[in-house]
Amino acid sequence: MEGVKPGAAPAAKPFPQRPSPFEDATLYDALFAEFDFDRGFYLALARAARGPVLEVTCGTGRVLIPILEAGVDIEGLDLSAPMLERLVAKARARGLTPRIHRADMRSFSLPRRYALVIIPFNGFVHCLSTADQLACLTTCRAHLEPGGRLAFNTFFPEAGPSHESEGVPVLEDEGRHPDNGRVVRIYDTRTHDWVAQVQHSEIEIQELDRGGRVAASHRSATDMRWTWKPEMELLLGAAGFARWQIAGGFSGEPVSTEGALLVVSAWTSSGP
Amino acid sequence: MPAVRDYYCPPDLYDVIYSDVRDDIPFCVGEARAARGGVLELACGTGRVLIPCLEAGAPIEGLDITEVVVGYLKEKLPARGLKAEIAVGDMRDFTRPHRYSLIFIAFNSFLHNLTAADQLATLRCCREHLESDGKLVINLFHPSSRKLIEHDGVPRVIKTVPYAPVAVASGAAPGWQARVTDAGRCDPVEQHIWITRQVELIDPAGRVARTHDLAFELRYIYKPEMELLLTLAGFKRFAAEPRTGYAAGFAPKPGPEEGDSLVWSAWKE
Repeated sequence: MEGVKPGAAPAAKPFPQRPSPFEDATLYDALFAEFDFDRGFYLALARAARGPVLEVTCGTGRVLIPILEAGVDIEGLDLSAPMLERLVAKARARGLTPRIHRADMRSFSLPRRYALVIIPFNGFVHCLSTADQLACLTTCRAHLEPGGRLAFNTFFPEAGPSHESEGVPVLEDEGRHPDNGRVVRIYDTRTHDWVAQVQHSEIEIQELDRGGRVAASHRSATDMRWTWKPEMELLLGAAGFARWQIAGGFSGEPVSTEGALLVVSAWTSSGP
Repeated sequence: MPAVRDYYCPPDLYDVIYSDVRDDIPFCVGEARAARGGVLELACGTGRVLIPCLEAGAPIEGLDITEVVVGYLKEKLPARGLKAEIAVGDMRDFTRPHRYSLIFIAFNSFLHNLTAADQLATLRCCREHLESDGKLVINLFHPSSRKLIEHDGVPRVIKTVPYAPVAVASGAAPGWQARVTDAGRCDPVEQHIWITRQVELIDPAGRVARTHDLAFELRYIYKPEMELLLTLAGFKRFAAEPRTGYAAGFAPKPGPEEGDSLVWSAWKE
């Protein structure tokens, strides 16, 4: 994420510094706006919340706008100005007025307290150090009402497949540019630091012309810090949460290497 | 799953199957000799490391959870003209009358702590028993993602070593061998490894004269997780030094990388 300080990221970085992939909000939407795998989960949680909802790392509003359309009292928070600008434009086009905050997930301070705070779609993995992770979790907890819930999802790498595709460009997804209509493809070249638990992505987003030729190429790079399940439990306890559940999917299935997904819910009090 | 106690029994068999693990001993002896006060080894077992420390003149005490193993070590010492305080104790919850300059847990024994509660209890108990300038040293392997996925439950011979029980001089059996076969399983989500081990004692004619079935469970730990555990246990200053493996000299190396041996040092203050 733009502006997130590298904290305790690995010292030796053999990669040239590139812009973050989250600076071009239009390209981001070309690829991710239609992602739907988690939206039902967060929408259901938001509807069931008995109080205001805060989405941390709300981006261009992929999750926030449908929740707002459902009539939920939701606010959004993100560090990236271009992403938030696009969110506002999209919401206004639907006649909605979103309440958003440009702030850092590790240190934000808002006047309200929320029944539910959500961090969808790997937003948490931009916290690159344990200190960043604890600051984020502690800040989220401080913004919850008594009995409030933090819900977020992260990933961890599956050893076998990760080794097979190490350093190899992989076509992750294909979409259509919302402005010029071109086919847009994202290639992700991932490498893993298995000790620091950082996945480095060298990203190339290509815009293809009608003949299928590359008409434009956008390069960016980002680091993501994954967390193993027992480590996540330590973090939640250290951040002061009273209880938590960690599932391997959005239907509450057990955590498994096949899913490589952690769906975390943590509550500020021990009562049910 | 048999208790961890059974894995170390009979203790003379443990001595046999780990007789080839020597490379970490100079490091441990060096740490013990450099300590300015008392030294305590937790999970000291049959004295693989503790005896060389005593022989080097370090003022070391030993604690182990397995009574049979403690009894066996106590018998080994006088035969070598050595004397030390050895007691039965649980690393998670031990009480000693004095404080130490150095407490160490060698050769992955900290991984017998199977839950976060156990890990934290051990670290806190160690910290309480350190002098204000004392240091805790824990040797752990860093997991290797490639090796973990090889724990497929298939039995494989991991080594064959000379079978020469060391406790009893007359027990030396020329030409006998011990063959160790392990089958490992791994839960990469909860970070557990289960090893089922068969030790075959093979006579000079190549016949399997006897077998022992052993099993143990480890809860492996990643580096950021260990840092978090040490922090939660009250340590504010710690470091992880990468070393080559127990059969590769246990020498300092650049890194850390996956699969390295990590020497964790944590200072009380």
